[in-house]
Amino acid sequence: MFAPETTAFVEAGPALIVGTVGADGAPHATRGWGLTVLDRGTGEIRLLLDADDDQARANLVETGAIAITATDVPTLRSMQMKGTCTEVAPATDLDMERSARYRDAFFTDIEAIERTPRELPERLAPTALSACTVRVGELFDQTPGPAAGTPMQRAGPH
Amino acid sequence: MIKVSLRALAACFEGAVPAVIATAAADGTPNVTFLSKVRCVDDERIALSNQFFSKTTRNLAENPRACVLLIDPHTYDEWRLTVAYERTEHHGRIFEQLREDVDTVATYHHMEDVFLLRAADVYRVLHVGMVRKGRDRVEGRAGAPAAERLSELIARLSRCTDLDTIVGATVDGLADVLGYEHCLLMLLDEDRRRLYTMASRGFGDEGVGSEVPVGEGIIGMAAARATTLRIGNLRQMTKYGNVVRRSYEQSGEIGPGREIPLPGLDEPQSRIAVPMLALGQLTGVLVAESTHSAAFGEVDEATLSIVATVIANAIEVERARENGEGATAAPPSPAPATDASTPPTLVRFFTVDGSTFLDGDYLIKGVAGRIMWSLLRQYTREQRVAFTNREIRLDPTLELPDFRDNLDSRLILLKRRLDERHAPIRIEKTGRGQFRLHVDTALRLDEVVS
Repeated sequence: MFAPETTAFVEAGPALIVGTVGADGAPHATRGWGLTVLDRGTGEIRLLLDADDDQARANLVETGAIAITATDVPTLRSMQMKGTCTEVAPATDLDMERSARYRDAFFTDIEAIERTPRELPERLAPTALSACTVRVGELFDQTPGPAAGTPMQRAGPH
Repeated sequence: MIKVSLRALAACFEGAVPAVIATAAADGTPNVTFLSKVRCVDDERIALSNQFFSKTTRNLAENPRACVLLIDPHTYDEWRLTVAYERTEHHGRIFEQLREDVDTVATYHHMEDVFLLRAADVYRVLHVGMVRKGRDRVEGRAGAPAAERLSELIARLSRCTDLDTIVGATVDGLADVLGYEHCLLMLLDEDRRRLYTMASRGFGDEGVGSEVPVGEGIIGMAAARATTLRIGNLRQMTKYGNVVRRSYEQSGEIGPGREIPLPGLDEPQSRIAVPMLALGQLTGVLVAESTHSAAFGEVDEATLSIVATVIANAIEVERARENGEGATAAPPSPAPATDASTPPTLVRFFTVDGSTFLDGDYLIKGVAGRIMWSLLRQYTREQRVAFTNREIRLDPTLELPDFRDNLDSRLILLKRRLDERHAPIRIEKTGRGQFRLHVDTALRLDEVVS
């Protein structure tokens, strides 16, 4: 599912935006604060979300359906991962460390590329995190342009 | 029920920070993507552009609900909007507004033929909630220029007696009185095909005489459409446009093209281009730039539109007066002696386009270049230094159009260009329709005929 280059891309510190959906079909948008590929073969990842986003957590528990778009700040190269959340749990110390590294890379890119003072995007960061385990089933090229949405990879039976 | 007015989120709609939209298909699969810009339609509605018939569009056809994240670029307050798809428009005011956004990106990156707005999707906003509070708002530059300051600038302009002082007072007043530190005044040429810079303030180089074709870039498009264009995210827009363009290139729809180097700041983040209209006709474009994102809002648009209208009408009045009552003969005035010990300045003139160079440095081209050449030939032949606009206007070598020749504008352009270059040749206005040539060097004229 995840080639080494794809893994490096999603873990490097891209902007992470997340879509979930409730049982009533209502979509919900939130942000991700770190992503780690747990198993490249099965497409299992660990995604860190704002622990105070009750709607996102409720949706993930209800339906499990999730979409995550990772966008490289300097190039806007983007990739969308779609799959199912299998677990939502409190973030561990290791998750917090990973999120800190992620935020540092992400905010550094924003500051360098957008010339936005770092203290501004830092205000978006949540104080508490929850960790979701997601089984990614499909990957899409989401880079802006007419080819956005083109499938890159679909998981086989597992 | 909306608890926060969309109007209060005005800065979020400038597009400085990309928005996010989440939708869901009928089978419950979510989709999430960035949006380059969200438009506020009214207190209850927003509109999104549709260029690519994307998954978002297909999802909304199945499930009309969506969730949008917006960020205020000044404070980084984050907002979440719950919205419901209402309708799609293919023409009308909302469509035209969104088309401006799309066309601005397209013209900036030469994708006019392929990067097109297909539809404007309008959504009713069901709920607005703050996700996270950012920093307190810091009032920047003018923000909301007070009526008194605008009045002061208008008063300054109304006291100007000729075109030269009008253009100078405009850029100085915009900077000193209203706080637009980086601004540019461009006029439309006789053929109505290009805009040329008459005066600027706050840039490294004044750039007098630099040109922008009508229809190209943000400034050219504001002129072509006679509509104010306001961009608050030039870096983001450039990045987005480059990526989209590469995508089209890979699909073979367009070939590699050129980038238009826009005049102005090294790294502008915001630009506003306001057409100057008088009697329904375009006279020029007023431009302001900033290194800050979303630096210009609706108040700036209104303020600069007032200034642009005043300038346009003043210029038209001055032109009409100048065309109607120019002096008929210049008083005889012999040229003063120049220092023969210094080497002469080589003036090279290309007849093909009027390009004129002083000692190898480009000075000006077109009508202004031909005026310069005509004056210098008379100066070297007859030692004349006093001239009138009327006699210049009758010179057939200038190839002036019969109607709206804008001679005075070209003379002022030439004068300002010579001043900017600290040239040893200067033009001094000596009265209505009269001027004097100052030449502080020996001259060697070289006409290149082709």
